[in-house]
Amino acid sequence: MISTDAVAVLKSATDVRCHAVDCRDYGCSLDLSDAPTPSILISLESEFAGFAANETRCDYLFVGESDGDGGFWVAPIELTTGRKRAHRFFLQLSAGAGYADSHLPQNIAVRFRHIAVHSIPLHPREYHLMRTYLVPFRNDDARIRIVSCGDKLADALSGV
Amino acid sequence: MDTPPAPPHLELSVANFGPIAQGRIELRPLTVFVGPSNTGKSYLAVLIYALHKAFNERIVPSRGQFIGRAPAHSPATALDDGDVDEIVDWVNDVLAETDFFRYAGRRRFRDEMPAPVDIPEPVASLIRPDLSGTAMLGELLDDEITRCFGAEQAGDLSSYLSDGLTRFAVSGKVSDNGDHRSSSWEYEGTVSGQTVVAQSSVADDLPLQIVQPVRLPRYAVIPPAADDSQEIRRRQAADLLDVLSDAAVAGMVGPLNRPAYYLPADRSGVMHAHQVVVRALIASATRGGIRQQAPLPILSGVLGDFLDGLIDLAQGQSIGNGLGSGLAKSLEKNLLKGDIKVRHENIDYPSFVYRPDDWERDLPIMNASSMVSELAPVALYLRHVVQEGDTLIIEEPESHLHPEMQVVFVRQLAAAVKAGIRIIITTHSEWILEELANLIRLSDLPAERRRGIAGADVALGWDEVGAWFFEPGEHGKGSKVRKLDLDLESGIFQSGFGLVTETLYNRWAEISNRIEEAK
Repeated sequence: MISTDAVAVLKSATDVRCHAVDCRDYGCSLDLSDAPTPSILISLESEFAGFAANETRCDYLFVGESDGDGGFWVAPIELTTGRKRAHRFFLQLSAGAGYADSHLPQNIAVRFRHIAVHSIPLHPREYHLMRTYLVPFRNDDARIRIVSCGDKLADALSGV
Repeated sequence: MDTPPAPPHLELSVANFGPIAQGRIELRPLTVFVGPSNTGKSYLAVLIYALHKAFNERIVPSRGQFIGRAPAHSPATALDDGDVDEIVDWVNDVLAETDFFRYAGRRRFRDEMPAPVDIPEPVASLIRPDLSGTAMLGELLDDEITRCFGAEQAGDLSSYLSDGLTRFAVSGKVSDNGDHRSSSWEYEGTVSGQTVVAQSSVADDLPLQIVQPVRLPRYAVIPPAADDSQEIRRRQAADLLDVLSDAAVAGMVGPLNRPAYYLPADRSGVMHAHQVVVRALIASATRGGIRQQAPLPILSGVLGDFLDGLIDLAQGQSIGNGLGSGLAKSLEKNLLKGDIKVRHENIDYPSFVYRPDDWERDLPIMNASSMVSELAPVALYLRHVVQEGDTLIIEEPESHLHPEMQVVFVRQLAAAVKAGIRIIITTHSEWILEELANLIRLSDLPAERRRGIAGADVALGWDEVGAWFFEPGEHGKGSKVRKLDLDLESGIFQSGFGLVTETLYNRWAEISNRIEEAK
């Protein structure tokens, strides 16, 4: 199947030492229960992910099979325990999108979701700003979804 | 003239009170209640109002009937010769020489309030037992609470979410800056059965002060003649002790002893309908013999008092007495863009009119914008009623106001606080909270560097504002009240509005993403 191939392609294209089983950064995490499978979670913070030390990137990239439609969820994820500006989320998740673009096969259907995870809600004005941010991925633009630490990745992907 | 001391630090705690499971707040010069609907913000505001009414309108004691005294206590017989001398001598030698006695007929001073007068320890030690016990305010508090809530009985105010004991307590702490000691008092009410049972306690070392005019019985301050019997002096001292006990309560409870005014959330509707309501009541009252028997509807005390206040305005009872003529003028100039006036009519019942700037004629309030009818009572109360030290409780001041006007109104409220008026608001407005945050932050900026910043003259110190969040309980439990801190990094109070904005944003993002996918 195409989807299995895509996950497999990513697995083989990345260093196994940056493959993660927990989506966590300090005190903030995403709940992976009920997350789509098969899937792969890559820690982009890992030194084995291929980024330079000071290079901007998000914390994780999740890729998993989308429910029965033959495509993939592709989700760059940035977690933060402190307060962060919308623009910073945008930059980091855009870097994650670039990583996904370069590592995923071109001939697959994707459902692209950027996920910003916080422990403290943004300032209301930041949400207004966030509405203006479109993260390009291949031929599409996608908007960032914002969830709280502890929320389920499955819900973040499906928009529940 | 010394600067009057800051009011005592007042706390109010409640448990199982209406929708509130538990809460503890401080009453600051500007106190803000924030939170979702049905979490008890107005409940707490009405309780505070009832406490003001009870303390402020307590019966003036006389002849040993002081309401704070335990009924079994008989002060005249309990006083020994030394006590009698301490009381009579101090009153005659010290208190009678102060402005508090000189202007006893006035509730308020035209000029500056005199500095408080410390009650000496030998006299204070005789007063304190009167302030502790079960009789303080007695039934008055029960009456005020049921009246203000429009309840049939206090038991109706018990939590409908819990079987726990319904209680509330107001307490004060007095700090002695000299040696950093502090002393406290507490006044507690518990709902027992269908009534409120009150209990007060006062620390043995609580300093007591005279802070407002004291009306002493004339005969009691005439120095006794040499041949007066000790029994006469004893009665004289007992009477004085009653008066001093009452005066000490005023000093002890601070702002609670001053009047409070409640502007309910539906005030703009009342401004439209008050004439109709009162005329209907009058018409109904004159047809008592021929109308069918119908139960008398109950009006909550806060709404009834508000209506009463409007009638007082008509009768001229409050006209021109308010501290805040300048504040009202500023409100009219900056927000209303016109004047609010009371128009007396032949039936001696008021109508309220609005004269927009540059207009040649008045506009009935009901024909003015909803913002005008919303703010008209605020302007009227500031101009005609509210005095320094009084408390003005405003439910949802943001109602009918565009966000820009809400921001301006917050600065008007801050100006009122700066003028010595204490304000309590309930709100659902993030704009109000944000402007409050700005005004608090402004207080960190030296005054000489504030030029050109809006609100520069009404910056509010961190201790002047207290914001409290009413957090809904889970699974049908009552709400909990917690302090809202101003987050310096974001510049806002974390009041939960952000989560609403986030939910709205996420819906927008999801809809947009799916549209993108469908292309």
